[in-house]
Amino acid sequence: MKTFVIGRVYVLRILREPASVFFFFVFPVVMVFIIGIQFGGQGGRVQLGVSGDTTQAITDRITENLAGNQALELVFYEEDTEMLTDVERGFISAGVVFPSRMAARMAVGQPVLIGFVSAPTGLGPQLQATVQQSVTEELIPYRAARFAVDILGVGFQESFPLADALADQVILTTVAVESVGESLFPPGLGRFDGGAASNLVLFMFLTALTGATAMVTDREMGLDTRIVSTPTSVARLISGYVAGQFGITFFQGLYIMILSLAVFGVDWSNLGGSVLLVMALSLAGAGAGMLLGSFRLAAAATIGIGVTAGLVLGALGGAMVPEELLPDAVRTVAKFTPQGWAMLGFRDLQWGGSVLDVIDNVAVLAGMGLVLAAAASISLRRTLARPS
Amino acid sequence: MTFSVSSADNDPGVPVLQVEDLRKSYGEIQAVRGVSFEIAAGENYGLLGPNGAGKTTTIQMIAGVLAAAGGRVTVCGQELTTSTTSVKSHMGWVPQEIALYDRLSARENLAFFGRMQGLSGRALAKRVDEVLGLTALGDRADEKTVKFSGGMRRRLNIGIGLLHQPDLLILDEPTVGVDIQSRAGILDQVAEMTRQGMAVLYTTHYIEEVERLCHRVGIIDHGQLIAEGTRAELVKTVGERTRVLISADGNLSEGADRLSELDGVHQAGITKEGIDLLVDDATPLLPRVLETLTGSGVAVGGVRVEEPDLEAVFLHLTGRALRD
Repeated sequence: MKTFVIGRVYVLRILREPASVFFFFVFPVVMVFIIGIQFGGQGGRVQLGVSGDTTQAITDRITENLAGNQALELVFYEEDTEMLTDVERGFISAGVVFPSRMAARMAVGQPVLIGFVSAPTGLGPQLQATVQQSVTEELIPYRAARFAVDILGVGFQESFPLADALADQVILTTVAVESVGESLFPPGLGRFDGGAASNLVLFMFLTALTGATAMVTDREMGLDTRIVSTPTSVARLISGYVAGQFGITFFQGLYIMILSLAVFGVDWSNLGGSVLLVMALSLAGAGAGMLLGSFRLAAAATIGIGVTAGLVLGALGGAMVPEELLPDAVRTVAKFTPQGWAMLGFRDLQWGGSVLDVIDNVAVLAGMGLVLAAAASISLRRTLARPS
Repeated sequence: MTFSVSSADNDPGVPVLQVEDLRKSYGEIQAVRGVSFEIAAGENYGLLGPNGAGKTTTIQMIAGVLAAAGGRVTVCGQELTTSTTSVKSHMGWVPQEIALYDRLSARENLAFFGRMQGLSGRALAKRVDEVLGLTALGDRADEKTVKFSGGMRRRLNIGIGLLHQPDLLILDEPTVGVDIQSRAGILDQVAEMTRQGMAVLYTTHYIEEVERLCHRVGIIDHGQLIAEGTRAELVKTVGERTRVLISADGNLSEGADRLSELDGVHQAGITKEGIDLLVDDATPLLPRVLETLTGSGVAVGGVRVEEPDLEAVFLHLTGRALRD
């Protein structure tokens, strides 16, 4: 009961601080916006730019063919330069430039050059193959008609309708592609490749650590000693602080998840599992925050250490760079960080895991929270025993 | 307003508070060195000493917020240890600093600390209303305390200590930084509490507060209780000596040394204003005092003669003025 009462007052006083309105409500929205822009919106579809002379029948056929690919979203540009700029800046993955008079040139046997641009890294090669296949499929009747002109001496205008009518009966030889071994990211997840989860984990832990300043302020005002002068133990006091900070961090985590899902369509894979991970991470974060707050430090030093520790632990735990890209030594260290266990849990969910698959991650995070809270209790007892 | 009568009242043989050989060190520094005293129900005990004498450390150990290095504290017959919290419900501690939640209202602050004391439901609501009335904050009960004046905050700070009607109220310098009107109100409240049967432990470095409120006084200096008794008993230790307060500038150290060599001068101490003397009879001595000071290069601004009081007792016992 006292734990709840202390936790409630902890939350209440933070909510009533004028600066908390920004921290509590506005800042998470900024996070939602960042996550949404990066990972939401398009449901994982790759954007392909189209520019040049797109008013021709042949370009209509090619773009319709490309649009039939569920993985692609076509973005049409008036100017080639505008599309090139967007490719360069990474706003779209690649672009196709159609020359003018394509059909007329093919009719008289002139070569036609379709431009393809992509960034040096990313999905360029795959998109090039996709575009090439679409172009090849749609040019079959043109090439057949041209063959008739060259070999049989029939006029292009006469042979093309016939070739076009027969094109659907042509069986193309295709190459079956199969990937072996483990890929870096799970298939089918598109643009949600762990980035949303890593941003969430990083932010939640940072806010939990910086919450330690509230505890420092309480101690500086003599509130801790006043509470301890009542029939309330230091352990009970810490449990109240942890409960309050847990409530704040959990609320922010849920708030970000739900808002990013509702507004930007961010895919959180298994929602139940994700919520459990957020809950357990909130407990670990609250424990860590209260441990930091229990040290005999000023508020300014506490916030500095909190931010630094949050960023360092985030980097080690794979919340900045995917764990798969980290060296083995760092991956081992990640096992000792809450962020590492949270990120592994989110990764399991992205790979199609269920709630049961992340139970061990949840248990470890909750255990970390309890151990950190116990350490905070011991540390606060020592801090209060020293002269003020 | 009524307060609960201490359990010690039911058994007159048991004091509300017993402090025995209390000790505390911070590294090499011995902050409290074997302090012992007792307080009975309805008694106001003043712990008097200059800043840094060990008053707050002693009080924090008695309140159970600081672990003692040695000694024993017993409240209403129950020994206070670091592992027991139930005995704390007999005590109400009012710290020197104003320990309130700024962003909570007066009512919310009282309700919170009431719950920490184990109160709940209607009993809590009733006590909150009573304390709001007692502290004259009823009409501002639902305002955040950040908007309160210093005096209002100080009154609420004391009110929190009274919520659960403790047997022992511990007040650590409760009037520091308070305006004259609020101070008078606080002193009246404390006097009323003792009349109602509450035991009060009151620390201050204001002599006039101790003389007005406290039945018995313990004088603490350098972590030791150097004297204890009623005001009359303590003043007796000085004898019939008179106190002479001299406002002066210049070489006060040399002046005090030369004055202490004069016949009839028992003690000479330096204060912020000048020099304090304890003398047998001030009237025949004053011309020689002024002559000695002038000869020592001390410029005298004024002289005041006072009958013996606790300040004189402190000067007599320590050779220093209380507010040095």
